[in-house]
Amino acid sequence: MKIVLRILLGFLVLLGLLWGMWLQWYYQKDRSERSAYWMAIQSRYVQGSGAEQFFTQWAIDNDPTNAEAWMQQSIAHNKRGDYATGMAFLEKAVELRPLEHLGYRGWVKLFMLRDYDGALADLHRLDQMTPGVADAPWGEDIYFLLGLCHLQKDQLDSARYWIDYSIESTTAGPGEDWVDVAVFYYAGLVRFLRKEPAKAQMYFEKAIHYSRRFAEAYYYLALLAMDRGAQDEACQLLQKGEGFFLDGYRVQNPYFAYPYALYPTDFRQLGELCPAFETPKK
Amino acid sequence: MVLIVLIAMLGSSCEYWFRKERVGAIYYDPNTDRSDFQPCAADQITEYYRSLPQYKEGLRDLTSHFLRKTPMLSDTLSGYFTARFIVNCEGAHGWYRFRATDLQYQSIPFDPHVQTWMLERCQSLDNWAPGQRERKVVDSYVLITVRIENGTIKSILP
Repeated sequence: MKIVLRILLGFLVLLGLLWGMWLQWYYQKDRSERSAYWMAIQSRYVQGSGAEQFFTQWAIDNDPTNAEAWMQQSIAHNKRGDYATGMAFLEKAVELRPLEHLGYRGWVKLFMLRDYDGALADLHRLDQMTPGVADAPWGEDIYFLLGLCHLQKDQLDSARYWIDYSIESTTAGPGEDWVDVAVFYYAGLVRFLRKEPAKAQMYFEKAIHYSRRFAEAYYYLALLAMDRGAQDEACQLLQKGEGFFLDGYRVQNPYFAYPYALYPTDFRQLGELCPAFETPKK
Repeated sequence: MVLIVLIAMLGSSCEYWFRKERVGAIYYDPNTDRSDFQPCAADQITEYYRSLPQYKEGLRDLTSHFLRKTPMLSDTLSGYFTARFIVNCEGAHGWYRFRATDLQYQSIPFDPHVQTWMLERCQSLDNWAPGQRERKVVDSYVLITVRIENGTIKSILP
């Protein structure tokens, strides 16, 4: 019995020593280093899990100025429909580091919340903070996002202005092949809605030039061909586009539907005007 | 040995809690939920953006389903009204939860007319294709948010 007690005591002492060493190591760090430590721990867990939220909160508690932690804490809430909590966390991140988080918030407002005025305010504020720099919120060109906001508000002149500006500024900088192919597609869509068929065609063809399976671009090219009475050409384009669409080559995202998203029915309905149109079997 | 066992038990219960407790998790509430609906695996429900359950062709069909029958709303009503529920591995759905914010993302009480309408519209959504992970059908959490501005339904998200 005595031996067992001694082993237990020894184990406790060892545990205490290790704990003390860890505490000494931990408290040698300043608050921001401690916060970064908990951020590294949280990144090992699934987003939105109890552990991820718990360790991110510890990171915030250790350094309430850690904007990255506030932003990280917001993501799962916004993705899962708790916008009051999610946007409050994101608001704090923006307040602490607007340059880093305004763009992401604008992106969330545009795509996930359809809050176009809110998105425009955030994106314009960011753009004004970085003169001469084309920001890329969440990987998308900021001028393209501004154009999409206006497109969604049915302000086609402004949409055209910003989407053209996105293409021109990228082309003048790194080059046209750095323009996201979706930007060409939306440039074509804006021209299509403005009833400028020649320009629309030029942009849809450009989208296909850079991504030859761009299903939506084929769909609109087919519409344009039908409008000018070239039915055979339209039906060929449509058949091709539908094949790519059903193969998954479409503008899509698991989180939300993109503006002016197309659906299989769109291809089928237009295909009814084609005598030999057949939906590919997938 | 006893201590080691105790530490291991403490560790594993923390691990269990960490993994189980998730943002937006829905648990059965006998006061509001139908008992004849059950998830196929209640501890493995995935988010919609991982398993992609689908109503007909997607958001456009959801939107037309919701707009087919709309409630009379007060001109002063604005905000985001969100229904979150489970679509199980057979395409059945239940355990609806509701949250609302104003257009500045501050929590507000859920308007009872909107809640009755959303619940009825959600419950009448037939033909859900269940979500899939690694080619197996799974349970999914689904989200439908209605953005209302001054009594007008502006959009259905996401």
